Amino acid sequence: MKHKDCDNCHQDIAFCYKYLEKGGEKRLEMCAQCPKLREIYGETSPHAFLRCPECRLDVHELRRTKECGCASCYSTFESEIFSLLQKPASGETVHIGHKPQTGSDLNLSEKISSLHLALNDALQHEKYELAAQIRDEISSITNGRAP
Amino acid sequence: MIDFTGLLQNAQMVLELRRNIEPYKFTHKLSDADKKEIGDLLKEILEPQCVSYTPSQPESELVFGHKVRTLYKHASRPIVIAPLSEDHLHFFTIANPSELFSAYDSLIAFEEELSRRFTYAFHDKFGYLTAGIDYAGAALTVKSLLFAPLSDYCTLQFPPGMEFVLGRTSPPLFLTLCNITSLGVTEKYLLETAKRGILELQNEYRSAARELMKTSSLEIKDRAVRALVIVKNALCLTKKDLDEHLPHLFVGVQNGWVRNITEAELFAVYAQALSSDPLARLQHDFTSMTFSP
Repeated sequence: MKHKDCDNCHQDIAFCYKYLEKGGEKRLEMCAQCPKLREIYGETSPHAFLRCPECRLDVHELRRTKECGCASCYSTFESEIFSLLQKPASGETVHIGHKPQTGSDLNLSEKISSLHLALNDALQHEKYELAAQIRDEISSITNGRAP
Repeated sequence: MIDFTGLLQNAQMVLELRRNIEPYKFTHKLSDADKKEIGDLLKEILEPQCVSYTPSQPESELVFGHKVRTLYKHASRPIVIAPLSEDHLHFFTIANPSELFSAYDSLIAFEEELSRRFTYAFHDKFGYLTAGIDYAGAALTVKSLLFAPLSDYCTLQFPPGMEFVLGRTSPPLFLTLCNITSLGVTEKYLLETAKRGILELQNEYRSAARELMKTSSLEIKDRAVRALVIVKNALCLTKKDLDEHLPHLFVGVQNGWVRNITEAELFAVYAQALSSDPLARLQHDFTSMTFSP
C-alpha cells in the first residue's frame, strides 16, 4: 500500500480536512506541522485537534470550561491539563496524597470505621473512660496513615 | 466590648471531597440511563446508613453553593453526601478547626467503606479524577468560614504566601478562605495550612474589631440603629435587603443594642434568605425588636 504524504509538505499525514466546494466534497491531507493548518484553524499544534475517544470532548471545550467529560480525558489531554492547572507552591505537579485502598487497607479502614461507631456510641451513653480508650486505639491505628 | 467567646463567633471548616465512579463518564456527560444506574446504586448503598432528602425543586437546592438532586445525611457521622452533582459523589463535613483532622479521618474512612462497592476514577499523576480539573489530586477542598459581621469596617491582612482565595459572601457576614488546588500537596498540608490560615485571620479580625469598637463605636452603633429601623418598618424584605442590613443587626445584637431577637434567630433568617428564591419574601416578624442605647 502506498504511503500517503501531506498535500503541502510531503510529511506523514496527521490530519484529514474535508470540506465542500462547488457542490462536491474535497479532502485536504496535512501533516502535524503543516502551515495550511494555521490557515484553517489558526493553530498548528496537533493537540488542537484532539478529541477524547470516550466522551468526544475536544480541546477547545476543555480550555473554555476547564472541565473533563470522563476519566479518559485526563490521559488524552494530559499535557494540556498540566498547562491549564495552577502550579502549587510546592512545585510538584503530580498527585502525592491519598490513594485508593488495597484489600489489606480496606480491612484496616473497616476496623477504624467500626471503632468510630463504637466511640460515638460510648459518648452518647456518657461512657467517657471507654470513649478515651477507643479514641487512643483509633489514634494508634491512624498514626501511620495519611494525612 | 464585643463578646467574641460565643459559639457563633467560632471559625468553622468545611471539608469537601469529590469522587467519580469508574467506568462512567462524569455527571454532565452521563446519559439518562447511566444517571439512573448510578443513582440507584448509590441509593442502595447509602440508604441503609443515611437519611435521604430530596428538594422540592430538583437541582435547585444549594449546599455550600452546589446544586444538588438528593442529599444523604449519615445517621451517625456529621457527613452529607450529594450524589450526581458536579461529580458522582460529593461528600461534605463541617468541623471546628480543633477537630479538623478527626473530621477528615472520619470522612476518608466512610469514603473507603464505599470503595468496596465500586472503583473510584484515579490516575497516577492526576490523583482522584474530577469533572473540574482544578480539583484533581486529593480532590479535597478545605473551606474556612469566619463569622465576621464587622469585616465591612476592617482592612484585614490575609495570610501571605498561602494558596488560598478569599471569597467574601454577600452579606459580608462570613469571610471564606479556601484552597485552589490539591495537586502536588498532601491532605495533611491542606488541612494544616487551612487551619493555620483561618486562626491567623480570626486573631487579626478580633484585634481589628476591638480597635474599631474603641475608635468608631458611634458609627457602628448608628449603622445598627439604621438597619433596625429599616428592617422593622419595611413592608417586605428581600434577600438583597437582608444582605445589606443583617451584618449591622448582628453587631447590634452582639453588643446588646438591639434587643428581643437572638443571634440564633437572626441566623435562622439568614438561612431562610440563603435557601429561598432571591426575590422571595421573608416571613419573619421583626416588629418586636427594640433598640437600647
